Amino acid sequence: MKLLAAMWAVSSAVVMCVVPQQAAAAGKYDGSTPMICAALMVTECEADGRCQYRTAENVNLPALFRVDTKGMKVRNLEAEKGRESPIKNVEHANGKMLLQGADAERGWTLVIHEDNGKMSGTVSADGEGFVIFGQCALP
Amino acid sequence: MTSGWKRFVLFVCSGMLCSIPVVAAAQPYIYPNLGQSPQQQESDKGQCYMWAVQQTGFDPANPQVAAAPPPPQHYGQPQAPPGGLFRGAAGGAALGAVGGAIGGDAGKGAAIGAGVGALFGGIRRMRWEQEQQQQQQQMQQQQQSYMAQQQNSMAQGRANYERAFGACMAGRGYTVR
Repeated sequence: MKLLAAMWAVSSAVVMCVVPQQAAAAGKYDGSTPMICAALMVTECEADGRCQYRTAENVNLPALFRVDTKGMKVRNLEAEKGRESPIKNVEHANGKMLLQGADAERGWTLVIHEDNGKMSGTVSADGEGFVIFGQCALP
Repeated sequence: MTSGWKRFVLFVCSGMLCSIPVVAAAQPYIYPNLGQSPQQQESDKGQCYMWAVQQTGFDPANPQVAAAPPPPQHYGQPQAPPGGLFRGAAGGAALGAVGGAIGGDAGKGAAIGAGVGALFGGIRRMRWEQEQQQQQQQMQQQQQSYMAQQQNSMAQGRANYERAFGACMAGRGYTVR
């Protein structure tokens, strides 16, 4: 009986550990579904090499935005503001999803880790650049 | 000379001084120690006025001070970076059109921009705003400093003039207070 109980406990633990991983694997951040991304840290750099930490709000970037690769756009969550940038290119490489776009004389890139949703981005312009780090989640 | 006459002379002198812008700010009292006539006093005053202006370079009738020109109103005003970092909804249409044009669909871009702005294109440097605020404060401080400098120079020039005028009149036998 004791052996049976032990086997049951072990199998239950295995199931509990495996099921979330399967769920996570099913929800990969590969762009198959839109995802919500948060810009957690922004670094503002100037051409002379000076860089300073900012918040998204400091640099007029929505802290939360939706990445919709099927709709080919990145859009902020606040509908009344309705800011969005079109995605020009989507690529997948080594478990990363690379998004590229351009608007308002600026080029931007987002790299999203397809397994864990970690996000890195850049926005470059004339004489200045912004580096963005954040996290994406599936709604 | 009776005290009434003295008062009369002082009154007349004061009245004449009022007619001359020399001492428009603070009228000195002038007493003729040697009993000079009002006509003589008027003549002496005129000559001392000319002398004091020559000595000090300050003419109370036309008070001017040599100072740096006032700071320009827009000196050092930071220019908005190209592409309009400070774009809001008003600039959204043009911005969207630019974004759309890049993507080969200007119409769509304009439609997007009509009520919005670009998400990444709307990012702006925090430093830009800070510089703008700092430069506005500096400009105000410069203007205040310039005004204070003007006032100080004016007061200094007038004080020098009054000293020179008083010295001249004293040399001609008057007491000036």
